[in-house]
Amino acid sequence: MTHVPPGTRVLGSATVVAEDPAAYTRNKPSFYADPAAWLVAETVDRALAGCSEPLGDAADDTAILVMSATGSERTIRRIADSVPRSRVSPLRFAGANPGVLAGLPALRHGLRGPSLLLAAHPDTAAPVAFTVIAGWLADGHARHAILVGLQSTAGDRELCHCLVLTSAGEGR
Amino acid sequence: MVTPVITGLAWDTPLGRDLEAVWERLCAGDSGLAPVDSPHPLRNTAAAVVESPPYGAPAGKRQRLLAGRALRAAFADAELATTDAEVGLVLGTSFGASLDEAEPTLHAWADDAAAGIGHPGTPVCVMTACSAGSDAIALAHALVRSGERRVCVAGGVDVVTEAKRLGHSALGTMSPTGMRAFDRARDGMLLGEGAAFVVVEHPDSARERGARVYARLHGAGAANDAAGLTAPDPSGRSVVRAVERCLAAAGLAPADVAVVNAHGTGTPLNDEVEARSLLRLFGADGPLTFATKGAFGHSLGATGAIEAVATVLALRHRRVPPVVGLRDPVAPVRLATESAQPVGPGAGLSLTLGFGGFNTCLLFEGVGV
Repeated sequence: MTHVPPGTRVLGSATVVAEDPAAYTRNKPSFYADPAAWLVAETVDRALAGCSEPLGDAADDTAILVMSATGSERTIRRIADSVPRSRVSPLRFAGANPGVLAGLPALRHGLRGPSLLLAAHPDTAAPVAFTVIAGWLADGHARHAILVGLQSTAGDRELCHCLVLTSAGEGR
Repeated sequence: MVTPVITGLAWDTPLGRDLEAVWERLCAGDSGLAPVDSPHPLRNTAAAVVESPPYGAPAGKRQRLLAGRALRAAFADAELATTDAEVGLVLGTSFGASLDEAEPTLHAWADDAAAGIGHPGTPVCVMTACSAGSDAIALAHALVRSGERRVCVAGGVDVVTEAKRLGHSALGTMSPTGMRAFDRARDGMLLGEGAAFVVVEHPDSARERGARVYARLHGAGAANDAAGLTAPDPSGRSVVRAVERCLAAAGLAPADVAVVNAHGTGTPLNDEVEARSLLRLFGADGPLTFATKGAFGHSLGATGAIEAVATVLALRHRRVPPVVGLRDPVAPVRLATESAQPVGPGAGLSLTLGFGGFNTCLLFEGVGV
């Protein structure tokens, strides 16, 4: 994911390379999300914090689209391992949903724009993601869009890249 | 602005897979819910499963077979070749088989399904829990409207598995008694499975091909709840927002909507939030509202696509099936309590609410039989 969607401009960006994605988890006894979702959330936090223009009260109109081929597979595997024992943790079951990679940042920042999880490598999914984001911005369904790509890299590291986008004409 | 049209429909459900025969069974109030054996202790053993491939066969194989069969049916219904590289594929699911069997990637099932029908392209795979089928269709709408694709076959596929049954038992979202969407006595959902696809096509392409047009896909809208990973936002503001975005995209007003296919999971809070949101949007004299999970069970990542097909058929036949299990409505929404209630003039709206806060709305306009 190295390009910027046509018709948009970048308000902020962040990249986090994680040796261990679990390093960013902030789960509680009553709340669980997959470590990959926390890595995405951390990257989104940093991108929003570094935005050139504050989003202000635009959270209601901020969309998020996440691209990942592997998503919440760690928790998915843990659940699969527990099924023969007739036990599935309800917290893990809820936090294993691949969509949680988009849902968790939305929850943390109150993002009530459209949200989507494309299960694909970011390089593969990017053209489709660009079209979707262009539609959200053109239709006025979002004033800002957060685009996230999560991928595995050499040595089992995970690379998460986030762009905070707005329409190229927005604010001008 | 281009308004894509629907030129093909297919569904593969616990009530069968013939488009019109399943519709007739729905309108007759039939249900596919029945006891399904499990080696595990569950809140309820009832589920709605397809007849073939039988429950108990490997889940990944069932997911792929269902996907391939429904895809082939959708292509055939639209008189398109499955080998046509110009046709885009957008497939949604919740977990598919991944909670029960090792899968190489989240999208491997979709890739295999596409390859299995001889399609040369790479499908787009959407995983937004119970809104995945709707989100796949919304994505196809965006691709066709933008000119990226002339035609997309889009929808959802999901199978009942032991992990999902255990998970919903543990979460308490599975009913211990039965499916009663929008009923005061509702106490949860029961799982179902299936697949459904719609063919979303540029109107010029449909005209050039002389394709049969079932409906126009007028718009799509979505909004995240930003409230929790499982429970909906009690205020319903994002449900309302998703519908408002959808209507605005279509240039329509609430009064233009004649029928709503609601998500209707039968879980206490979900139905209350959804019913209140519909009341807020449309008022007590609003569109006729139905829900199909009493017939099909909750097919998770497939449900949005199955409900989209049902919405198009409701517009086509100008009638709706009854809400199976509904006796004492939770709110003064115009719920379909009797079989085959007539639908007045206007558009049809399909609404899904998914774990992770995904709320998605699709708006169809019928074009007559």
